[in-house]
Amino acid sequence: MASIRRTAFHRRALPLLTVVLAAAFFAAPLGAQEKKGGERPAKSAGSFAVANAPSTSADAAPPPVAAPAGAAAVFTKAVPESLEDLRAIERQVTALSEDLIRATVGVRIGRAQGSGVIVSDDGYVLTAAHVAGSPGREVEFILHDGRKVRGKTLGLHRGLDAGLMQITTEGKWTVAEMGDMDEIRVGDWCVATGHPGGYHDGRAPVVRLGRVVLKRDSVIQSDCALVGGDSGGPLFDMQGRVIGIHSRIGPSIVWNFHVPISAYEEGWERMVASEVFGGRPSRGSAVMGVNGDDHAEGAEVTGVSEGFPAEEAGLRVGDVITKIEGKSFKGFDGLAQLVLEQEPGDVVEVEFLRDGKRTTVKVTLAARE
Amino acid sequence: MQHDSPTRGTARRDILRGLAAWTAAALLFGAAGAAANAQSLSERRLRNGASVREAFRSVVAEPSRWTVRVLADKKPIAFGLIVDKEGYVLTKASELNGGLACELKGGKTAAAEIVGIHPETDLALLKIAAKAIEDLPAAAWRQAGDPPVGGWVVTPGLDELPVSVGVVSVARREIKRQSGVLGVTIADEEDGAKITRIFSNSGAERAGLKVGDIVTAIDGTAVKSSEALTGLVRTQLPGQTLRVTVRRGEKAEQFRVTLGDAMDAFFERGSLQNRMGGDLSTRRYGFPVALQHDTYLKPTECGGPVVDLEGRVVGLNIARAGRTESYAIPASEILPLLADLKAGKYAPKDLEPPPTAVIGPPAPEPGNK
Repeated sequence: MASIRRTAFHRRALPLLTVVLAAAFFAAPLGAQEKKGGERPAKSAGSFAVANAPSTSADAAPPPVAAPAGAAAVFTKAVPESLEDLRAIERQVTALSEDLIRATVGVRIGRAQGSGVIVSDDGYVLTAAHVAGSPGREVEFILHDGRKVRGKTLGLHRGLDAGLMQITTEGKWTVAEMGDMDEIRVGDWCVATGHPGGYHDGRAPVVRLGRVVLKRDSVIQSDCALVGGDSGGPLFDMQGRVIGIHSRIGPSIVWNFHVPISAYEEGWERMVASEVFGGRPSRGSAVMGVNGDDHAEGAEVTGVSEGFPAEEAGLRVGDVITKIEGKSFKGFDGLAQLVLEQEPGDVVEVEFLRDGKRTTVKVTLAARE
Repeated sequence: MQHDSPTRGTARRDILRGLAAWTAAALLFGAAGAAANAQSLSERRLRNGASVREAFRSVVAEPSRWTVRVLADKKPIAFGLIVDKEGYVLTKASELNGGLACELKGGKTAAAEIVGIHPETDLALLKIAAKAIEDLPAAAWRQAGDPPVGGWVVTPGLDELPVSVGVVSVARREIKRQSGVLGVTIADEEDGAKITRIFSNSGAERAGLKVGDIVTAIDGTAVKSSEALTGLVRTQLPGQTLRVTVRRGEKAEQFRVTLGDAMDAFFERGSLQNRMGGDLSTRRYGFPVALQHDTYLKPTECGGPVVDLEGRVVGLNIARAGRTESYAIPASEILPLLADLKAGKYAPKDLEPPPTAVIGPPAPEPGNK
C-alpha cells in the first residue's frame, strides 16, 4: 500500500454555515455580524484567488490571472519580480499587522504557556490541543497590550492538535476571520504571529512573514519560523484571515507546521461542546523522521526525512525497523505509537534489518512542537 | 488496510483517523516537505529563497558596496558597515579577536584596528587603512525613523543578492540583560561555596568542575559564601569567561569557565528548539534598544547593515538571538554614538586587555549540531 494512503482521510461534507461577506481586501475585524452563541464565526469569500497551476508542479508559473481591483498582482506571481512587487507585499503586510497583532493572545494554563487567536465577538479563541491540554481548565489570556482576562478551555481534536478556548471576562475584542481551506495554495504569502518563548512583558505579539510550503488535509507547512510558546498562535493569509494554528516544528528553519483551519471548521460544534475527539497520542511530541509501511517483522522504511534524526542515525529506505528500545511492534502505526511515547531528546535504540542483517543504532529524537 | 474498511464503526474510525493524522504530522510531512514532492514549494521560492531574493538585487546594489566582511586571522567572523570615506567601519564588538581585516565587495582586503568599543550596544568602530582603497563608499542612513512592523528589512553581503531578507517583527524595545550562569547549584562551605550539582552541557561541566569542588575565588576575588559567588557571577553576561579557583581535596585548582545563560541551563528543551535552524550569537542579550526582525542570520552574518527597500541603513544587525529572532541596533541610536567612538571616548585601554579578550567564541557544543 502506498504510504501516502495513511495520511489520507475522507473529509466530511463541510457544514454549510458559511456566511459570505462582501469581499474586503484588507482585513477588517469582524463585528458587524450578528452571531448566536456557539455559532462558528463567519468566513468571507476571498476577493482574489491565487491561481497556481493545478499542481503537477507547484513551481510552474501560474497562468496569468486578472487580479480583482485592489489586489496586488504580486500575489498571483510565483515570486516577486520587481521592487514594485516587494513594495506591494510590504504595503499589504504593514496594513494588516496591527489588526493581526490585536487579535493574537498569550495563553497561560497552569504552568504551560502558548498563544491563541480571537475569532469571535463572544470570545472564542483558537489554539493548539497541546496548549489547551483538556476541556474545562482555567485560562489566563494576555491581550496584545498586556491586559489579562480570564477564560476556559473547551474541546480538542487531539489527532490534528486543534483546540478551542473561550474568554469569559466581559469585553470587546479585535477578532480575526477564519479563512477557507479551499482557497489556500502552496506559495501563498502568509503572516505568523504569536509569543515565541512565551509572553514577554513589553513585547507585542511577534510578526513573521513567509509562504505556504505544503498543504495537506491534516497539516499546513510554512517558512514562518516558530518556536516553543508560539504554539496555538495564528497563521494568516494576505487578507488577514486565519488559515492555520501553530503546532510543531522540525529541525530545519523552514519546517513549521500548522493545524489547518479546516480542523476548526469541521470540528466546531464538538469543540464548542467541550468534546475530546480525534484520538489521543500518549505523549506525542517526539519525532524520528521516517515514512513507512507495514511489514511482517515491523515496519519498512519508505522515506527518510532530510535532517531528521533517523537520517542522521543512518537509516535508509528499505530498512525494516523491528524494535524500538527492545520492544517489538505491529506495523507502521505500532512504530509511530512507540515513538510518540518518547520525549524529544530521548535516545532510543532502534533495531532494524538491512540485507538480512540485524543492526541496532541509537537515534536521538527531535521535537515537533 | 483494515482500518480503511467502511464496515468499521465511526468511533473507531475517528481514533484511527486521529492516529493517522499524528503519524502523518510526526513522521511523514518532514519528508514530504523536503522530498521531490510536486506540491511543496521549492526552496528557491521560499521567503528567503534565491528566486525571491533576486527581486532585491537593486535594493542592495549600493549597500553591498558599504558592507565589509570582517576577518579575524583570515576567518570571517562578522559583517561591518563603512560609515565614511576615512575608512571607519562599524561592526559587532564581541565577535572580534585576533588579527583583524576587512574584505570589501570586489575582493580587496585591508587590515583594520579597533578604534572604540561601546559595551552597552556591543558596537565596535574599526578603522581600515583607507589609503589602501580608493573611492571608499559611505553608508546612506534612513532618515524616516524605524520601518514599521511588517516592513521589509534586507541584509546585504558582498554579493549581488542579499544574504537574507525578513520583516520587522517587533517595534523597538529594550532587550533585557540576562545574567550568565556557571550551571551549578551551590551550598555554603567554610570559606567558599561547595558545588552540589552540575547541569549537563553547562560551562561548569565543559570546564571540568566537579560536584564537591569548593569555589574559593572568581577572577582572583575571594569567595567566602555561596551568596558571594552568586553575586559575582550575576554581574557577568552569558559568553564571558571567568577564572574559577576551587579547592578539590587538598589541592587548589583553576578552571576557565565560559558562562552559559539560564535558558540553556534550566530549560534545555527551549534552548534546543531555539537552536533548531542555526547557531546563535554568544552575546545576544542586554541591548538598550533594538528592532526585532525575522531574518535568518548566522552569527557570522551579524555586525553589518540592514537596509529598507530604498537601500537606506535601518540599523546594524547585532545578534542572532533565536530560531525566530534577529536584533538590530536602530540607526537613530548609532548615529549619536559615532562621533564619540571616532573621538576615542570608547578607545580600548592599553593597560587592560581589551574587552573582546574576555569574550571568547562560543565553546564547542558536542552533539548540538
